Amino acid sequence: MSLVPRVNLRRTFLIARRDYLGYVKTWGFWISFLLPFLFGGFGFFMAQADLDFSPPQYVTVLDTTGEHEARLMDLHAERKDDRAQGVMSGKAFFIQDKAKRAEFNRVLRSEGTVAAQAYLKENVPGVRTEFEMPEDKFKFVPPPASSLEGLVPYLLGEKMISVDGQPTELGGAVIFKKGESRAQPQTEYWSTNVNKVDVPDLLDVYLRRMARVTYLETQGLSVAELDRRVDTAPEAVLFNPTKVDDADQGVDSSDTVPFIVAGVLAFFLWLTVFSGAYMLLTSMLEEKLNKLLEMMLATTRFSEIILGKLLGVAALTLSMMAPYIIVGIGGVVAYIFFGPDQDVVKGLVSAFSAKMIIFLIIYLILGYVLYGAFFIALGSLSSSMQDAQTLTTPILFVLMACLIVIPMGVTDPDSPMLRIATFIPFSAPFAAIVRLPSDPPLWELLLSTAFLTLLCIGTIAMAGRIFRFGVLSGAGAEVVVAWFKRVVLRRKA
Amino acid sequence: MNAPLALNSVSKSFAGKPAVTDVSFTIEPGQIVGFLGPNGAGKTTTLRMSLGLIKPDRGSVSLFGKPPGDDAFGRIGFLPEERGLYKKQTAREAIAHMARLNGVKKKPAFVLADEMLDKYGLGKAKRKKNKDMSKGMAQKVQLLAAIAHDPEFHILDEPFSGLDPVNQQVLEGIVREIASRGRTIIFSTHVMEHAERLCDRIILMASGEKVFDGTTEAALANAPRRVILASESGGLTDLVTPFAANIETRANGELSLTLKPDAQAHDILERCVEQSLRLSKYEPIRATLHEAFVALVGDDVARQAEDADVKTAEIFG
Repeated sequence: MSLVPRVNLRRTFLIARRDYLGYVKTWGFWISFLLPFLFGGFGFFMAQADLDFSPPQYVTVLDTTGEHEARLMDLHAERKDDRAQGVMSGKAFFIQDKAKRAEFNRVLRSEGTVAAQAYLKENVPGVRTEFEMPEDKFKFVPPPASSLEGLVPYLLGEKMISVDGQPTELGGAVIFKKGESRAQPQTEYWSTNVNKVDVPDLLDVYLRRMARVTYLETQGLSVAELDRRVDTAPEAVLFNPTKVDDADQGVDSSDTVPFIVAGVLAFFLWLTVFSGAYMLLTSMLEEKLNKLLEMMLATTRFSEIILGKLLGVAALTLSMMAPYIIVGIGGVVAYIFFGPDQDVVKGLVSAFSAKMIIFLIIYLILGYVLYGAFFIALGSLSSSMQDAQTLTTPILFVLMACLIVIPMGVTDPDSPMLRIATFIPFSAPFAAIVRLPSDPPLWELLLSTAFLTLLCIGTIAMAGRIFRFGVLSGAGAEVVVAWFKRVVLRRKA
Repeated sequence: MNAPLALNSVSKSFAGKPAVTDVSFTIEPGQIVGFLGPNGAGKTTTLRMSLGLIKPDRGSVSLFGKPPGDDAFGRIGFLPEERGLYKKQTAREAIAHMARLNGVKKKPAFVLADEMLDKYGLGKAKRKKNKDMSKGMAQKVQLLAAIAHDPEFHILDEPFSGLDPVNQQVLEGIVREIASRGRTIIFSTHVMEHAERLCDRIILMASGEKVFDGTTEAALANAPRRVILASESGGLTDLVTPFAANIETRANGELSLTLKPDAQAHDILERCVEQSLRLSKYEPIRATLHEAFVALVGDDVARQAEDADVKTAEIFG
């Protein structure tokens, strides 16, 4: 008896083709396929439409101490400038020249966003210099009344304030009253919207800063000097002793990028296996419910039906993933050729090594076949969606548990848990891929592949038997229970 | 030429319960064989073993002289008891798909599908999706899908079930048409009338065992012969009693006689003439396969079988 089942390629192709086209003709496929484009289009439309979904809230300050209103406004303006600097600093990513990038960062830090924008315009003409200040989440307006009682009708929406001549609702009111000390005023915030935390957050920062500044001043220390020293504190430099291609063995993006890429690829692998296996389950269930299998079996081998389904759904899964794969590959290739950060480029090139590509393909195939065969077997035992859900819950738990190895592998690829996961066939595809950048011993990868291959062969053989039994039994989960009682528990039917 | 199908003492049990016991028969080329029996008689299990879908616990099966398997692919047209089609395929796609799986090339498969749909009154449904078709139409499409590649041997499991009388007649026409081309057919049914009209041989199953295998006439010979008599004169009952195994008096006064094995209906007629008894009704009743079945398996088994059929009808409507 041959271990490898005989298959007629033409019939296998016809079954794969029918399965593929059966799904391609559904709305669900096209929605999934077009989703990235739909999201892209939606995003572009929203950007063009310039719709304001969350207009700023108008807040007033009633300061009975006369000390805090101006300082609070200053802090608000400072935080807004920080946000602007954060957005502006993103442009540094597109400056290829390291010296120019450092100078841009210096200008941005010391002279602000307007100066940094001017620097870009003059020195790096290739980078877009248009800059839009981040939208305010709230704006301060003068108090329409001088007491809380006077403000309440505005806060309740019974009265409106006027902003640019338009009647507008007052969103909130900050009230400063004299407290225990100058640094600890009694601070209240009144608003009907208790979930919007932007103003309370600002007040929190303000009061902490007040406490800090007051303390430093009472101790005779300069706040500005402390800030300067914090800003100029040295940064820790990372080194990697295994690095041989860099004289100083310093760690940069080229070292971290491969691990992130491996994590993304492992997640892609998981997603492909998960969606493919689940589609196989529904495909099997469709066959069972359509009751066509028995007719096909008069003219087709069991192995051809299983293989045809595996191939058809694999093609389908790859088709559904195609937009993401194309965008991903396109993005990586574009960055390798045009990306500004050479360390990242170096990292990307080393991430997509021949070893990674070969093992990614091997684990993609084996992982899909392993889980796919399980789902085919379980699908053939199910006679309804409820049956399918009940039967697949344990294997879905296993698949979900395997997801945990991906983030663990990115941060700690050689931990004992990851090494063990590499040898467990269910988690091997994901653990091995995420470990590849740390260059695990080849024997570990080969042994892991061998275990996985053996389990795949066993699973296919078992799936074939279950499929044969399940297809003709017609019943659902109760058939499994009856079989378990009869064969395992040795109870008479 | 090898027989399309030969079963040699096949038996099969499920979970210790015998489904088929020691069944043997051979289907010769060109025969139309009715595979009869009530629900649960073991017909479907026997047909599945014939195709190799289930392995017998004991005995052997040969299809075209070889064990069931690849060699028979494309030579058999199988319509299973459980019906279904891919819901999103059109009628022509469904037929062409099965024809292609049976070895027909793509273009001829679609031409064949269109021709068959036209021929059997489904021309307008060619591009209709299976999910939009009536049950009868879908069933006809599945039958056409099973036979489109013009196989040598047709195995049809309960082909008439679920069809209305008009479509049952259409299906009978299809079976006759296939037979006229010299093809071999075995079809299972628990409705004896179809077999009476179509078959030149019947195999009768009950409780997993073969209880009869022979021509329709031979089967009918096992059925009790009955005659309905009526007379306005008295003494009819006494006169016919020597010929009768059983006499029932109907509400309208007519007598329904079940003849003794050695008695003939014309003997009764002769006796009446001799005795100058004027008959107002003399009607020999043609035996049915159902009666033959009851006679062959006994009343108890027949009643169990009928009960099973009634329950099935109640459950599945």
